[in-house]
Amino acid sequence: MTDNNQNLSYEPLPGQERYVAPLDETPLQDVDKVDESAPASSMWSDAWRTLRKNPLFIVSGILIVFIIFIALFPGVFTKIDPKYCNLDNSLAEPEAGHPFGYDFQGCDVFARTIYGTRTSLSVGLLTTIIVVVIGTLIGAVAGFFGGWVDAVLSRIIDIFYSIPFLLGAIVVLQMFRTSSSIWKVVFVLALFGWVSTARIARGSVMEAKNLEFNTASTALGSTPMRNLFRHIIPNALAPIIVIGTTSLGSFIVSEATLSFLGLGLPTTVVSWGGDISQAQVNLMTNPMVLFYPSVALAITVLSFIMMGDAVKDALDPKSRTA
Amino acid sequence: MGKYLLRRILQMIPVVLGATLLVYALVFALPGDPVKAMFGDKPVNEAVAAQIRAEYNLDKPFIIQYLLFLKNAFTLNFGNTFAGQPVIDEIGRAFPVTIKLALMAFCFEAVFGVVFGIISGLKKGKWYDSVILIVSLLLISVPTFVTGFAGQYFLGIQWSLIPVTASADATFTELIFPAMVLGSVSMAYIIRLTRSEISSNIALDYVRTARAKGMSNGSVMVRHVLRNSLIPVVTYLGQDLGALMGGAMITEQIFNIHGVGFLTYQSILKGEGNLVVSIVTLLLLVFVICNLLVDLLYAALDPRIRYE
Amino acid sequence: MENTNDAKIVEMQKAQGPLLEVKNLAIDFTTDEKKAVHAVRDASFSVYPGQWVAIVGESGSGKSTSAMAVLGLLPGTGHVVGGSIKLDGKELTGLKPKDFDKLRGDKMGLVPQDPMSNLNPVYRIGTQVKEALKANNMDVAHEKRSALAKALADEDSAVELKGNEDETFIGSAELPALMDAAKAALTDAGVTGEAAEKAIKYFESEWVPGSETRWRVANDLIKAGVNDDKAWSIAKAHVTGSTLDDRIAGLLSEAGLPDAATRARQYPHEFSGGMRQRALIAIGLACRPDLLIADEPTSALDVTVQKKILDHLHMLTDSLGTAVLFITHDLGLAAERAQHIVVMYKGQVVESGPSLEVLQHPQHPYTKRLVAAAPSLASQRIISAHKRGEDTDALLEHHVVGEAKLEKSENIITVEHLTKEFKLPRTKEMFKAVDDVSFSLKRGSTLAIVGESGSGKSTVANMILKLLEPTGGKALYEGEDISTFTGAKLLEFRRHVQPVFQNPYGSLDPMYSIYRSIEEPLRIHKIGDAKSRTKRVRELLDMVELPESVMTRYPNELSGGQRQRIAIARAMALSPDVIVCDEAVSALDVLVQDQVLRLLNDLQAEKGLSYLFITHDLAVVRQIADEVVVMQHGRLVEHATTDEVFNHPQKQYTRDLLDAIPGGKLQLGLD
Repeated sequence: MTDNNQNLSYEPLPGQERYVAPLDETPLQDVDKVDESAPASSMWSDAWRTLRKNPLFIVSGILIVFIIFIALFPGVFTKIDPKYCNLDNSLAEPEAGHPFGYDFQGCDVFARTIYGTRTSLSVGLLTTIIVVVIGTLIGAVAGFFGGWVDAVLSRIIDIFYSIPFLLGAIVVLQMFRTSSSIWKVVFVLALFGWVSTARIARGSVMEAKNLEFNTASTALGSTPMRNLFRHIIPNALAPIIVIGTTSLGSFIVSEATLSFLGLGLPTTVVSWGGDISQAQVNLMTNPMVLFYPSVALAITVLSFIMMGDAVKDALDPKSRTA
Repeated sequence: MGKYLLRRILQMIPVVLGATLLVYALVFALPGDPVKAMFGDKPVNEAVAAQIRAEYNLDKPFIIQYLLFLKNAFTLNFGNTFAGQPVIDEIGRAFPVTIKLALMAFCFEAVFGVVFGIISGLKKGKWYDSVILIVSLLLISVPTFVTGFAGQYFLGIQWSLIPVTASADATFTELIFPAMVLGSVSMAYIIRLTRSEISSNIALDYVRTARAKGMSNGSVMVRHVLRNSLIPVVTYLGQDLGALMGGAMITEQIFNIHGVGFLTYQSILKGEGNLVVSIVTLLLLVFVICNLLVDLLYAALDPRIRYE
Repeated sequence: MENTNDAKIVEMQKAQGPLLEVKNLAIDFTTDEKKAVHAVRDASFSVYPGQWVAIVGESGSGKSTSAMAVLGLLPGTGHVVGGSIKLDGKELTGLKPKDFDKLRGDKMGLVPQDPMSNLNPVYRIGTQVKEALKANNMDVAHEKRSALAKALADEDSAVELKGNEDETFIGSAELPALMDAAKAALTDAGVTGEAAEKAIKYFESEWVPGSETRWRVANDLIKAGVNDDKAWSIAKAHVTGSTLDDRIAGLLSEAGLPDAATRARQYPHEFSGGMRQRALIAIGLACRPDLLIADEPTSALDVTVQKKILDHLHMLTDSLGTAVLFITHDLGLAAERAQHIVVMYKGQVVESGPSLEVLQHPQHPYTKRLVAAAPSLASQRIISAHKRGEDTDALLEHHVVGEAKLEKSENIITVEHLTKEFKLPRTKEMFKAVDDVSFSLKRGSTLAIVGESGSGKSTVANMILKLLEPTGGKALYEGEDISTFTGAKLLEFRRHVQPVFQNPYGSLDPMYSIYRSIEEPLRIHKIGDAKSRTKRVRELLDMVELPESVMTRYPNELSGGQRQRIAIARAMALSPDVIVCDEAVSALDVLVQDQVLRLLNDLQAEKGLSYLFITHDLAVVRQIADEVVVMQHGRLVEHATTDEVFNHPQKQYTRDLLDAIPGGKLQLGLD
């Protein structure tokens, strides 16, 4: 049949006669013309444009700004010293100036909830910064160099990954039970927390490494190290930012969990986890003492997780959650 | 497949050795004297301390200590507690309880996570999708102990629907709510994972090809969208089984369940370093074995892995 | 097939009327901002039973969208907003999804574009064919043939088809007995010796279980010399129907998959691209649809594979009487395969009509442009001009004016016995990607390396660019061994030899603005200050005919062709002597490709550049190269001037490649 096509005297079937559209209906455009009217957009400005419209981002953004403000200036919200406790007030009902009432020790619950913000936030932030820096470095080195470097680092990552987080943290923390610094908690959270970031960093560096623009740069005269810092890491950053935002929330949960178990922050530090732990004894009679720090904790964590979702939507349009 | 299995097992060995070494080092070699820690706030009795050091080989070089520990661990000989009980007996009493709790939590999160995830993924944008999403976001954000206390207070104390704490036997009915609490966070993650997998798979080319074959919407969904979407979900579930056992501590604490987590916590309070290391080592093994099983399951579900 | 037969088909087509009739079709997509984008407007075309109709257009022209609307499988937010689609006189627009399910597979089939993503990785190939059969309750024991095909079969064969029973398939279980009976019958009929062997060989290759039918068996026997009654009685006794597995294997083997019964039990990742495409063809035709929509079914494949697969598809659809709506970007391919062409541009049909008429006398300016740009047709034009004894220099525009002045004899790049071995993963075996290749590139000229995937052509390019180190042999730049270059010397070498890569989406860093991308080489080589660099970037943009305003833009905002021009500008930034184009135009639409090729030609004429042009597309070579190196499986197959290669190819492989150029055999009535 192929050869029959060449038959020039081919008679068109009804409805298949020659048709040519009038030119004015489909005016011809220049081949591959640059659309100069569209606004310029880099990946970051695109992401920002998407973010701005995402209600998840707006809500969580407002909450986070508010939470940070509380952490920085707790004095604006309460004039009461959270560490001033009077056993006479033990478990007293709310009253004027003390809207949340008193806990078992007779401390003002409102003041403790406000001041607890700073503790949670600083532990979360410090841990996240350490984890992102260390995790990205180790992951990037493993992904970039490959070979035996990757094999060794990947096994180390596997080892840390195989230790259940809570158990590992407890084992280490029991060594430091006497220490009263918040750094021990940051250290422990970072020690077992860097693994996820390292895994993600390794993956995204490996992906970015295989992109053609690296080869192009090498052929332009760029060195591997220059490629790593100028091309690969900037391109691998998006997933790391996403996991950083989300893990900030989960580090706050972990800190509270450890403090709840009495292994985290010392009782001298005002913290939500510690207060919840103290309040559980009187859950039957005074649930509200437990309620306030729990809600504060939940809102804070929720904000960061929502922010993480929103950032993820913006940076990786393929994985839209909503 | 046989080759793949062998490679996975070979890769597992250095990980297990490394992880036990790490845990052992953390307990016995970190700054801070573990023996001193055992005495807590009490003054240190040097004679007793020396005896303990000898019993746990703490007077020998570190690497010898570790090897002796490994040797003993291999024969399930973890030594005795301070009270003179064999550690293995203590563990033997606690493990079944935690296994029961973890399995119940696992079933809960698997069933509800996948079901809600599918509903949500297939009916994107409907009101119940939004509700499911918001609830899962809340479950992820609210720490387990808060969820646990809230449930304990309302369901147990206020409305008396569930037992407030578990008895020493930890019966099935007593464990239902604790298992839900334990599985709630993972359930939320599974919902989100299932949902995003479905919505990305639904747009894939082979799904369109399946429709072009003339398959009905229902069978396209089941055979192509769900089947492929569930591969990462199953992987997540498998890994989570190990993590649930290790993470049961909080739940066991709240509901007074005498499982592994409870035991770990108590032994930490009492300063029983040996017991802690033993439990962590066992849990680590459980976790690693679960991961190995997941790898095998993954290979069974996705033929590409076997081929690799 | 004879002309009488053709006339009969046309007669039947006229009598039956169009199978598919699309009238004034309009399709919109809704964007995130709820705005409607008109993807297709006022498109009309029709397909008659058994006819191949091609829709030709560049990406974004609405050709695939129109086809998907016919299948009721518009992606995402797409929906039909106007016009009508009639299949067999039945209106499809506004049909419920459930009713569409009934038509798909059975009445309309699809052969999709990308063989890599269109098979579900977790199911065996056979299972995926089975799904199609099961979904439509196909009778796996009998062939389903259209009226048209039946008429053709009658005409074509010595037997007369009486009913469905004659369409019974051979089963794999009964095949040995059938063979024995056939051999005995041949002996009885007095067919012996060579003739008998030949006949049996023919039976063995043709009598595929689950594919060959009773009447064909009878027909074959009769043709081999067995008398009518005997032939029919053997066929009736031993051809009694196939099982589901037989039918699956039969379908796969019809699609050209060898050893189909074994292959059916394999997974997609064990298949090459060409084999997957064959499996997809088997799926598309499994339920014997009246209309097959083939959406660029071979554009992801090597040319020789493409040709084989399309030949096979053509043969199959002809014998089944299946009509094909063939979507392609390649005008040459369309004209070669289809009787009727529909040209689409920006969502509208701009021209349609009988293939050759459209090709030879394009009327709409867009079609004219397409015809002028199509590389396959361009090389046709050159060949024809040759035949007429005309001077071809006017057509080969790239020849450098005053090139005699250049020191043409001097080789700027020389490759001597170049070899590259890779270790295969998880084995100790070495794989020779490049095997003893030698050639040289003359200053100011263009050398094309042509080969299919896996030929080692890109590996050669990467060794010349010192992105890979050779295992053996040497690559020389200006007489010096490239592999010895280090430090400052290497940097100096990089100034002179620059690449332009295939993928315009991958070779520019998405995080870099266009300005930074073009400026990067200047920065690396520490040339000039900020001000002079900006000036240089402006010059370079002007050189590649892009407005200055793109400097602040990012790669994701530009089209593939524009990005490739940016990549050329970046390569030109250091004023190199040699540019290595690794499939630099392969990913581009025809018109854009033509534009980039012209740009490369102009730059060569202006700056006396030397090009090493790596491509799989021989048609493009004709337009740009002075010399051609043909590679296959890592080896150099043929090396000659472009004219020599096209006019007097020495090796079979080169001839195969030339044959596979779509539209290569078309007779263009040249204006």
